[in-house]
Amino acid sequence: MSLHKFANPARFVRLSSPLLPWLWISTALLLGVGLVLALFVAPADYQQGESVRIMYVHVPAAWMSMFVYSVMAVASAVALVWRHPLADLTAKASAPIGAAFTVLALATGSLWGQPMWGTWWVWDARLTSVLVLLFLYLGYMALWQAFDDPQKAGRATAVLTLVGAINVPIIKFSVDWWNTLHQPATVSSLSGPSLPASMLIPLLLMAVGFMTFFSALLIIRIQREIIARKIRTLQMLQANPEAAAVTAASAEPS
Amino acid sequence: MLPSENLPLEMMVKPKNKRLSLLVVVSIILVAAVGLMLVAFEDNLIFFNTPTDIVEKEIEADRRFRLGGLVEEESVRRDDDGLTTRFRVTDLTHTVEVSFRGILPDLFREGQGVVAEGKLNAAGVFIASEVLAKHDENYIPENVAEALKKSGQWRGAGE
Amino acid sequence: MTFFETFFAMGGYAEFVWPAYALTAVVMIGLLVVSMSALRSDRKHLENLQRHVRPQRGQISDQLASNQETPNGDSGTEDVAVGEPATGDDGKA
Repeated sequence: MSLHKFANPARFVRLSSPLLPWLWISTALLLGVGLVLALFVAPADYQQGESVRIMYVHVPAAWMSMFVYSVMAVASAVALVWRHPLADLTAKASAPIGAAFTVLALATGSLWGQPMWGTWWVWDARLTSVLVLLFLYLGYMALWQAFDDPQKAGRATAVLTLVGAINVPIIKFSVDWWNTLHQPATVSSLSGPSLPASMLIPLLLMAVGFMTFFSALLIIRIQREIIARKIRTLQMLQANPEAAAVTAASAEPS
Repeated sequence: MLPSENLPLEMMVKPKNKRLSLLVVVSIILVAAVGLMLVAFEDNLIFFNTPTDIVEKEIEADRRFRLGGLVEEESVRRDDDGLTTRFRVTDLTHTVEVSFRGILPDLFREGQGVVAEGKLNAAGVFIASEVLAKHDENYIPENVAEALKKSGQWRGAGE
Repeated sequence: MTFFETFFAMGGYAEFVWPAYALTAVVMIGLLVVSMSALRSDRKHLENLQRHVRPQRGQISDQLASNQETPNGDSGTEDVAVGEPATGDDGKA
């Protein structure tokens, strides 16, 4: 089938590898220019002074924490419904990146909250829902480890991801639905960004840089997962050629 | 080769559609369930009560809760001990008198958002044990704010 | 104060701003290093394995490995005893 033709892991490696240098160059440029603007050019805030510069790493990390989960949710749906060969691998390869961005969002938020709000942490709806997101990522990775059979692991983790996906809109709208200590959205508010261009431009450069970084890292990690699967098949063949061949053949896509 | 590969196309598509509709139905139920739960627990998801909430909910004295609102302009006074700060928190409908002994966060300013944790005393004064500053979603360059204030065009919050 | 002293002081928020940037750098570079080294070591491992497996078998297994439902995932540890030692388990494990 045509869908599966494009999902061929070998084809993925062949098509994605030439993208990598471009993605890394873009990442270096975006983050390089973004950092210079964020640290040297962007103005201090009239209320928050220089501490506002934490925004340029905190906000992109927080955006990515939700974006990576959304990627995993789409991949999981595709894995469950269409049994797309790369879908499981995409979700699996994304999880540690998403978890890392979530840790960054929480930690940099904490470092920003202490001087501005007067506390490292509060249990308001926004902070709590982001902590739940971190636990979803960690639960996802733990669940993969709990299964020996990658097919079963793929199904179980995909279900977990989709159930947890409800948390993403909750994070996004928590600041509008309930009163929280965390302020409402600045950039994506209905009335347009309440941020001057001198702050918005470095923020967007950093955010796009985080995105290209994620894309490049994801390609590397998916390629690694493909190789890991090949290794496993080879090892099974070596250990028990007949049994491995039978198992593999019976598991062919329907 | 699996037997299914020899079946006509529509037979092959079926399980896929079944899985898709199952996924859609389960997702709708899940979203509805979580939505209902969030509505049911709304009171617990709220981080703070506004002065209006206090009037409407008639929160009794000696119950700990968080009070949130704006620090009323020209209401901040410091007691002679140098530690206690008194101010009024307003949501522009009602106001509550607050007393706090301790160090205030950097963003604590008249006209700015604030969330205080503590309880009401018999006199209706909110005795705060912790005061957190809440900031809004607006960012303005320092020098722009100063220039606006100088030219008298300032309409924002803050000093 | 010189320009750089002012810059590093961050208006008195140095102890919050710099850890935030440092942590971001460490985590992102760490992710990159872990992912790259896992890819490299698994690549090497695969080459070693393919050298030891008879070519005919290798072709078959390549086909199998490119199939979606091939029963494998992590460079699992249960097969280690028989094959090459499984280097580079999942970098995050």
